[in-house]
Amino acid sequence: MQPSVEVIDGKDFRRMIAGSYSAFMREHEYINSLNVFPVPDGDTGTNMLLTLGSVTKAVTEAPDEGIGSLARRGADSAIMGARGNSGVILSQLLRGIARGLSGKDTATSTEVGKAFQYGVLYAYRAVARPVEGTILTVAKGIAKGTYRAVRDNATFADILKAAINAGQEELIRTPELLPALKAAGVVDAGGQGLIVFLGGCLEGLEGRFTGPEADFGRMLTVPGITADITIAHPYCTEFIVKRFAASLVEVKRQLEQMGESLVLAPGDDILKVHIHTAQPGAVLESAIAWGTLHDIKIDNMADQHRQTIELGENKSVMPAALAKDRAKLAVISVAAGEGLIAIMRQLGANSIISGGQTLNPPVEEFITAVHNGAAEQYIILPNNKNIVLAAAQAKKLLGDQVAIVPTINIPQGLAAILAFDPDSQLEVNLSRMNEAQAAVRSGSLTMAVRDSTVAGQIVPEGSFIGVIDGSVVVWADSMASALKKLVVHLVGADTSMVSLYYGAELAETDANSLAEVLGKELNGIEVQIYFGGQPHYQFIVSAE
Amino acid sequence: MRTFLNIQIVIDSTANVPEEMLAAHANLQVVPLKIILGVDEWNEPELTTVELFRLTREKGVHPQTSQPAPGDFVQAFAPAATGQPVIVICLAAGLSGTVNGAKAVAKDFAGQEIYVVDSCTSAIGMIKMAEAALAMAAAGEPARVIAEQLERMAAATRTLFIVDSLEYLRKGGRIGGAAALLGSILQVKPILTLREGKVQVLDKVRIKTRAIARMLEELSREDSLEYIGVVYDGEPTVVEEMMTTIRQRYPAIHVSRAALGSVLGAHLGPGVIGLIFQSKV
Repeated sequence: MQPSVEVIDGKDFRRMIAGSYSAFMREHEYINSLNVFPVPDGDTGTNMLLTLGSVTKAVTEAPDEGIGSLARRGADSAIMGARGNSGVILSQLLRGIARGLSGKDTATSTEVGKAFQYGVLYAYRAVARPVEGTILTVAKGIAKGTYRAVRDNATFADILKAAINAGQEELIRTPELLPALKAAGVVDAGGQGLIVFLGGCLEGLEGRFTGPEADFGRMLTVPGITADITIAHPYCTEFIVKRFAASLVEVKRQLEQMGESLVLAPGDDILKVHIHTAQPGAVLESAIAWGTLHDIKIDNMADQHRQTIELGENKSVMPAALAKDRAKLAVISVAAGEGLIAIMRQLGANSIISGGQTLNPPVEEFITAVHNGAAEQYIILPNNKNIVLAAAQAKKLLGDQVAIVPTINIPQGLAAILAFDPDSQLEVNLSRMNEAQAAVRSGSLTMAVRDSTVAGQIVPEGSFIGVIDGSVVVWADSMASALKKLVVHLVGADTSMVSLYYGAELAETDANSLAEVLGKELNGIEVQIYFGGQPHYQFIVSAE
Repeated sequence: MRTFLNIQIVIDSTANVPEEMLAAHANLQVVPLKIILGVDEWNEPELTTVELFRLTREKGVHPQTSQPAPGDFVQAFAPAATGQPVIVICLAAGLSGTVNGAKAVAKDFAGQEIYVVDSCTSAIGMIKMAEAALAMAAAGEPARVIAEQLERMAAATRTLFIVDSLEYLRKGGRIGGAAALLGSILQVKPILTLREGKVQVLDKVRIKTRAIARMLEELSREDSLEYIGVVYDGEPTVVEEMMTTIRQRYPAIHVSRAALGSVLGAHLGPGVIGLIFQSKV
């Protein structure tokens, strides 16, 4: 076969990303529907769509430049905009691609193919415990297909086709590898997402856009805060040092003293600097000695915040009285529903990021919350399985400034906040909070969004189902009896209190009367009911 | 003549010493702290917590308290001038200036035997110390030895309590730092304790029954208990249940209960349930 002489440049890359975004606009709801459990679960399709939205915006708005720097921009924005576990995995995929294309103005199809192989490798590494039958199985298939096509010197379009075909084969096998998928009669949603991503890249490359028009305004909201806060280092300063000829260690040492959130991205005799500082002038002054300065960008972050507030798009909530003095330690907690948010604030969480089961906040929101400068160190409570990875990603970017107590539901989060003592050391708090959250048993009540089979029995769409640790454990036609079954399931010999947090769709009087009935039936156990206001779930329940 | 009868025990009114105990010991006397509501002032024993909280509600003024007037101490220390040793038992220094006030007055009695002891607690904790002091005095122990024993008891005493709301502690400035910001959402009950004389949060627990259980858990960590005391304001049912549990768990240990005095009431607010216990010294 003739060696391919095809050259892929920044414009091609841009089209590929735009193509993948438009493919997700079309497919995300289908991907969302690939739910293992009949519950409104973390929406894989939406998460990947939103993550790609950040990428597409960054790549579209970037100046015309080489494929290497464009890929890098895309990867950076994916890392900041990643939502949910699938979004984080996608961001790693893009990081790997960027790594493979690093420093290149254009690339051959072989080089792009290899970059995609890197991407798959990075995605694989992003997952702490690789499980077969998931997105990873599909990623491996894609890697194999890509490898073969690259070896055969195929054009990049053919490489993508080979990758998609090999990935599809593995995707179809996922129900065989993971019984939960088989029971639900679906393939892995994340794996399907990868195939859609590659398919979109192919469509973009070939100039076939089939999705609806992109609408960044709707999809992308900048995380904001409601309070007018004082930022210690208000100027977000970014620039590129070309002909970089200084010691990276020395540069880091100097800059660290001048602000926070320092990110240094070195390349071949080039350095990208990102820092939040109070003295942008002094930063640039120092940087002149290291090489020539380019793409200098200085933003006052206070403006961004204010704008967000004015636009009414604020998704994060800050306590009204934000302490002027920096606390040593503060809690960042994730919740959906005004009741739960208010409860967490009153329990002492410093900032609440809006998010939950179906709305996974991007990594960026954690970073913004940390950058509000209210404390020196933060403990993040993800309060959801699908948010743990985004929190971990934030920790990777922020380092020791952040610690995570990996709470996977709201009651665990509440128990952890209750155990928090801002006057104690971080380690003491972490151990107390971990212990406290582990002692809570919790579940939630929702309505089945489709027919499903649980333990060999058919649970029809519209039944009320009780979910514990991601599995459906009880179900019934009426909310009252499903709730009772769920509570009975959670209560143990040492239970002294059952807490019910009722959702947005429920009326207070109905919720109270359900709780009252329950209280009478549970002898010697105190039943407490609070307004949670969470979407989709009629009740979040805990037994302690 | 036997000298031990001469030792005088002075105790401040926050101990809420029962009438019978006072009547039985001629060498025990109470120095009153004051309650101030607006322009009105009472000696602590003149005002019950029920009246205090009623007046507070009616007048809409937050109650103030005052350590005993120096003159009250001067009077109480008078026997020292005739050569009788005086032992003064005061409530925790972190809650009140009473200890320091007593010490200042004692300085005017230079060369005479006056021992001022910071009980590091109050209420039953102080009564137990007075009982021990009276018994030791009756047994002929010298005042210095008694005072030293009281210091040891103070160090071995733990005071835990819960309150209906942190409002009184907050308004009185007796709780600081992060603890002052705690809300009452989800019926969170901070388990408060006196540590180094100051009110501090030991733990935070939801709902009253679990908070009581948490206090009892703390009690169970002590292996050689001298006594257990329950101090309370209002809610006799809850206290009754608590007493029953304690008596069942500790059949061999002396358990007593007492109502809260109005000075502590003014500091802590209504609904106090306290657990005071001492390990053997």
